[in-house]
Amino acid sequence: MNLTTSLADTLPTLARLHEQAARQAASEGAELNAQMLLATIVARYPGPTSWTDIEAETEPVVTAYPSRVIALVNDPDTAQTQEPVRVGLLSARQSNGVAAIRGELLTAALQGRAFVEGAAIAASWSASGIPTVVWWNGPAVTGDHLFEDMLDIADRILVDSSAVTDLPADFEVLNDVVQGSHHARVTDALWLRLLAWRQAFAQAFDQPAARIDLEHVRSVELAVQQSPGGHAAALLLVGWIASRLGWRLDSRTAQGWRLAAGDHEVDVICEPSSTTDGLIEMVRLSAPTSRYLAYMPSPEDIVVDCQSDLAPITHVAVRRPPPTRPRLRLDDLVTGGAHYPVFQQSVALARTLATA
Amino acid sequence: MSMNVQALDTALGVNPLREGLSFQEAPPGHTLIIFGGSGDLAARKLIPALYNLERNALLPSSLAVVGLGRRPMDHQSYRVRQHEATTSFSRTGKPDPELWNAFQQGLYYVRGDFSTHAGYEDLKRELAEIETRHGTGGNRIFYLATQPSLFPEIIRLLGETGLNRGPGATRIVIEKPFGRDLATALALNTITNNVFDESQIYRIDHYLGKETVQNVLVLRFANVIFEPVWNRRYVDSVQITVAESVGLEGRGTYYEEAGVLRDMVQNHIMQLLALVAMEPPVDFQADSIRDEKVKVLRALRHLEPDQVARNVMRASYGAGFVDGREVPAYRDEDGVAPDSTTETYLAARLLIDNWRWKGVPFYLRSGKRLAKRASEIAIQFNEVPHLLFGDSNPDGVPPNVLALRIQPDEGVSITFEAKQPGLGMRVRPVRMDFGYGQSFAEESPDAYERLLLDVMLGDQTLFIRRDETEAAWRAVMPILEAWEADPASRLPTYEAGRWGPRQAGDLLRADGFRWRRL
Repeated sequence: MNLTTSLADTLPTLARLHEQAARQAASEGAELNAQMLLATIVARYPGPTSWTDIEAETEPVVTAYPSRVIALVNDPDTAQTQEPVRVGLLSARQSNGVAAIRGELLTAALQGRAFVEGAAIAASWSASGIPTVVWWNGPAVTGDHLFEDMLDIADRILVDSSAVTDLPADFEVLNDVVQGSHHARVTDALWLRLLAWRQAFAQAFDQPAARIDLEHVRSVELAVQQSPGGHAAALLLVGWIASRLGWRLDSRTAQGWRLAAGDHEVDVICEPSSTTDGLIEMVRLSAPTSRYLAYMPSPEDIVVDCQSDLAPITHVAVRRPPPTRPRLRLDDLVTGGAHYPVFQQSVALARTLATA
Repeated sequence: MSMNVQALDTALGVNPLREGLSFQEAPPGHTLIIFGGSGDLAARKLIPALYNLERNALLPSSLAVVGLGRRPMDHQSYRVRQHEATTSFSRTGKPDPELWNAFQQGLYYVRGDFSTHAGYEDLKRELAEIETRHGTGGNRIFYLATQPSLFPEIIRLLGETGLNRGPGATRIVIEKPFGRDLATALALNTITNNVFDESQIYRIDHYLGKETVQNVLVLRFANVIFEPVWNRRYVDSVQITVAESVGLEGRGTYYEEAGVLRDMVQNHIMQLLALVAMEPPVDFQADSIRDEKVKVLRALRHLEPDQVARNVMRASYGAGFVDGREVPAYRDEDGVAPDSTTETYLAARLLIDNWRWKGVPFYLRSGKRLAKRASEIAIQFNEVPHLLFGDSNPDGVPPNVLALRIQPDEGVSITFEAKQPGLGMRVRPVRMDFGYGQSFAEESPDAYERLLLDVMLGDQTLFIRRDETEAAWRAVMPILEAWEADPASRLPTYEAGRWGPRQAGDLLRADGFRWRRL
């Protein structure tokens, strides 16, 4: 159910759609479930994108997390459109067979300055009393008017560092916005992609005996996809491990970095992965008497093989759905993106490594 | 390898890689030994719950499950049988073949006579082999899923054969009922605590594993708007309902001995009451929460024998229609004596003598073959002290009600007054509703999934401590004793498929209340 309308008439149109839905449900003898929105989502589309495409990638998210989605679409041809706004309700059938409204989708096709000033539209259309989350659809940027406005009006901005082009510069920017004191927190879809790796390693070292090995790690080897996204993933993952364990940059090496870990050093070695599946293929932590090898036997699984004289558990496995874009966005909504201090520290160290 | 996991954990502190990862901590390796491993509970609940934990990658990879029983069966037959059961009873349907194949490698069946020392010595040998094969670290959980009458003997023999202290952490899970009265509960607790330390004992009431039951704590203690009015100054009454539409489901013999008081009230309803009425705990540690629950149970006003009839009513169901199907009367069910006086319905008015709740009636009701399956806690607030809109509303306005729906349609609703559109000042109650299913699309785990994981993690928060179960028995003993002293030749009946006997309404009417329509 959707209608086209004008910018000024958007919210009344949305109200009319709700009334229609209620009347229709009543005429069918069904109970229309009261809608309970949990978030306003502002989705930025830097290029022309159809209603159908936006609806398709939005629906799985709002079905699980009822939200009002405001899609700001940069469309140079929008001047030819008399009614650049389309408003619709997204509904899903529940397990009891009753259809329930799960979300609202408001798309605005904008061009030029109207797109750049899209934050004003987002602010006026946001539902009151619930968080506003931005899907930026790209890496963090500086000097972008819309991004900077969003830092002020949103509660969270989900960027995606797997789309970086210039590692040192982009990590500098990411670090600036993550450490900055804005209203919005900046979270990263790439960080969420790494969640299964982080879970797997955390699980391996949940066994207390294995924690002794952590203090003696001498090398971290990674097999990484040869792409900016793969390198960005490696930086964030190494940034996470190193910041959690208190390691600091010592020097850059031919294959990676040397880190100072108290009374010893740790060599981080990045090698090209042999497959194109996934940004990271393998991570191995080695100590003199132990080795923890994490790999992906399938796209949904990460296994850590633990070879240690101390740890009784020989392997742990983490199973997670493949990190599709809707999945990552949902994770961001449900978890609040990141445990922020841990994310901040990881980004800070990743930036240090990227710019070394 | 033999090592004291807890001591090491303390010495090494927290896992630095765990910080910020909010997902469930993975438990260490374990062997779960199920007494009654070929029985109904294992097939319907335990194995499907374990499989679903595996499906969510929440189990340690070094987990072995050993089903114990008397009937002859080899490991492979046991695995096939549990696969069929999981297909039938798992909330996620038929198991994924690859995942099941990996999971079933850790399933074993050991046949034996577990009423003798020899059976336990054999078990020890089997465990040593299985633990080496799976690298479980020697952590063991003994799960008593047998008839309750066998619990004392199993516990005693576990102690006598040294299985109460293993190479790793050893825990025991005991299913309700914890005794059939205070005396037997005390005896069972004494036997259990002679063999196991209280920190090893997990008394399971699966109701506590339900998400919505845990949400009672979240609603109360993660929101500032409810707690200030959560007391006698603002609350007029509390109703707790645990209604079932099902009958005995083949458990006639058990139910004849139990009745709804032992089957539901002493455990599930007392736990709900404790969670609703407890003071805020100092933290979310198991003992902090259990300390507060025990205080509530101890503060329940003791009913004198002559007060029981005025405050408690019981009944049994007659024939009727449930879900369009004719069902027999309780006395005509299999396994039930034709002259049975076992109650299938109970309604009670209880009072809590403490500062927070003095004078606020807590109305409890539970029964079988009622109109529908519904569990709810309803907090009814006082009427406004002075109604400004009395001229337009000569009958007054109904009080605010906060309803916590436990099952089904889990959620929370609040009823409040709103102005009816129009030129007058008519006031009409409206309902604001939160539904779990609407706001959270992900399916809640089964209670046993949560509870089994907690046992492996050593978290006793959702399990019942010795003094809790004893306090709950003390609260209901006056009722049992009064009934025993004055046995009814015939209980009032209610038509199956209705909301219980008419007399149950009288209990509230005297106080100016009525049962909520669910």
